[in-house]
Amino acid sequence: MDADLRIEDAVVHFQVKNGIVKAVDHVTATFIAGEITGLIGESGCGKSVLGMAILGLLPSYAQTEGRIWLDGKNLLALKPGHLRKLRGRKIGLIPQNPADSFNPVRRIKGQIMEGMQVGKREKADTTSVKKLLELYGFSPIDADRVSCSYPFELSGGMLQRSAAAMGTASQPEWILADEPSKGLDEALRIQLYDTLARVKERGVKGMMIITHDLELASALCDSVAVMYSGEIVEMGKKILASPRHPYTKGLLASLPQNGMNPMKGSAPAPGDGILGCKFASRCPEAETRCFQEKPDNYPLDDRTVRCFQYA
Amino acid sequence: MLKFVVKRCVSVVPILMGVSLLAFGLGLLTPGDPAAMALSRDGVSEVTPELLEAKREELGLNDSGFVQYIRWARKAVCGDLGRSYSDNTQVSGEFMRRLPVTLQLAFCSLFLVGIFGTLLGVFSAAFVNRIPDHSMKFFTNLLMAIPSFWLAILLIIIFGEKLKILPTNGVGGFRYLILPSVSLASANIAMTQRLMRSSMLTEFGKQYILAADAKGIKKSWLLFNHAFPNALLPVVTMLGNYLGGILGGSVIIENLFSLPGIGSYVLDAIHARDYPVIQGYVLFTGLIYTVVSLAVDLICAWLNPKIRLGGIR
Repeated sequence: MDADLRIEDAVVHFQVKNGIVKAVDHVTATFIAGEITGLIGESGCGKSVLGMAILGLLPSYAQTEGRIWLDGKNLLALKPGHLRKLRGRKIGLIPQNPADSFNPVRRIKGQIMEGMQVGKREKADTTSVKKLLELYGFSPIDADRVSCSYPFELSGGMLQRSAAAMGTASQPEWILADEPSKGLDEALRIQLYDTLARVKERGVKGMMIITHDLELASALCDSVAVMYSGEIVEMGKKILASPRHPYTKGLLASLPQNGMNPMKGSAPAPGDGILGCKFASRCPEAETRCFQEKPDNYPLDDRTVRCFQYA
Repeated sequence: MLKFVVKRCVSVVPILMGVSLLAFGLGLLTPGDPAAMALSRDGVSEVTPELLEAKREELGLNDSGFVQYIRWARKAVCGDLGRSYSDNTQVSGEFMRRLPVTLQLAFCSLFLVGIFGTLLGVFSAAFVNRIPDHSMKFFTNLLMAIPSFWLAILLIIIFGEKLKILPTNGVGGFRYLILPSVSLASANIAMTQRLMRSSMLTEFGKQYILAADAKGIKKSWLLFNHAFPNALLPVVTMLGNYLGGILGGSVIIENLFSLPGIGSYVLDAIHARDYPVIQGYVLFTGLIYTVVSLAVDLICAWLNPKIRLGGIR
């Protein structure tokens, strides 16, 4: 059996008034066991939708095609009840916006404890909740206070760490962190790196980090998948150190420390029917061919690049 | 929380003062001379100006409105609302005799509305846009379209006349309350169901539900321990308004089932222009509404830790 999490030709589309929106457009990718994989791209590129598809938490009106393989099971073909049994046990989620991710009327303790009950790896009681919180950098006194608090009583950084504790309480084999650095300032980001490193230390098979934070991705991820308009355009190791695809290059060039050169134009709307390469209209290296034919994912060293330059 | 409770309780005082002013003003606007009416009630057939003047002095009608109000309010606070014009009984005594009937009826129907309205709402939300939800929508439409008096008559015919299994009039234990409270509750069950459903669906769309669902917890747990307490808040407010309304007496239902509650008392008083009773009723319903909305506020605060622990205010 395959230890990796494999996505084969996955499509997620939403039926809207004027046609179909393909949020995830024939994505094939492998998340390698034992590694942290980053899924990066700008807002609306479909990275979160792909994440939710892996968890089986897409809204009911989403339609899916393709396969997502985990432990020999195709997640996209499983019944909702079956998927529910995999969540928490096989795959856990560290949710985005920690402040909104806790039930506002219940204490932190109970919300972490129910994760533990699902996992059945340790006794779900106050002591283990506190131990878990201490693992995420709370002092014993703070852990005590946090576990008995309501979400609105905690600071953003505390919520971030509590959310990581909640997502990993069941000790799932795979962890999906959805935009963990969204809305965090520099100090909290440093704390977050530490938190995510602790998640990995605690023993997970693999981790996926969905983010648009390139710094986070280069600091933490072993390999990176770059998504653009529902497609993976470049995936592999050391991508951010030596980008090949023009879009990845553009992303890096737009970082403040690289001179903040934004890419011209904007990503195509998910409904636009584009014949050639989806990035062609914004690509500084585009040729005539790029507008007429669709490039494939071409292997290059230890990565794949969706660009004719590397065909 | 204590500070919140005290604050809310204090804020009730001016409202009650306003209500009492209204009730008292109603007495002033009463057509007819109270002194003359009092004399005729005492059995005096020949009313002379001297007698009238003496009676006025006795009743304190020559004092200023403010003095009269204070005197009236002091009595009202002690539970003395004066005597009924029609049968000369103590208004407050009659209210107290009839209150248990109204209370029983009100809380029975509140119970039905609370239990069935919320649970059926959760049920619909759990199966949103599927067959159970659609059939609930049909059912609640039906309930809302049926006027309560019509349903009451239908229930009387079916359960009282044809099947002869439930009593249809008077008081005497729980069995007597079933038909009236069902007829009183039906439309509100439907409305509460609708509100609960949409409130649950609003919660479903929130991030914390997604995060909780990602933990792999059971769906029933997700519904009742996560979405339910949050979805309940607007429903509690609505139930409070409903309770306030039916505590003031449900005239039609009380009459149909011959229940000697507050509603039927007031209806008779209005027919007989029995102003002390109407005055007492205005005061009473005002008091009930204030107390119920105070209770609703406190329950909402209790459900919402942000208020309970002083995160707000």
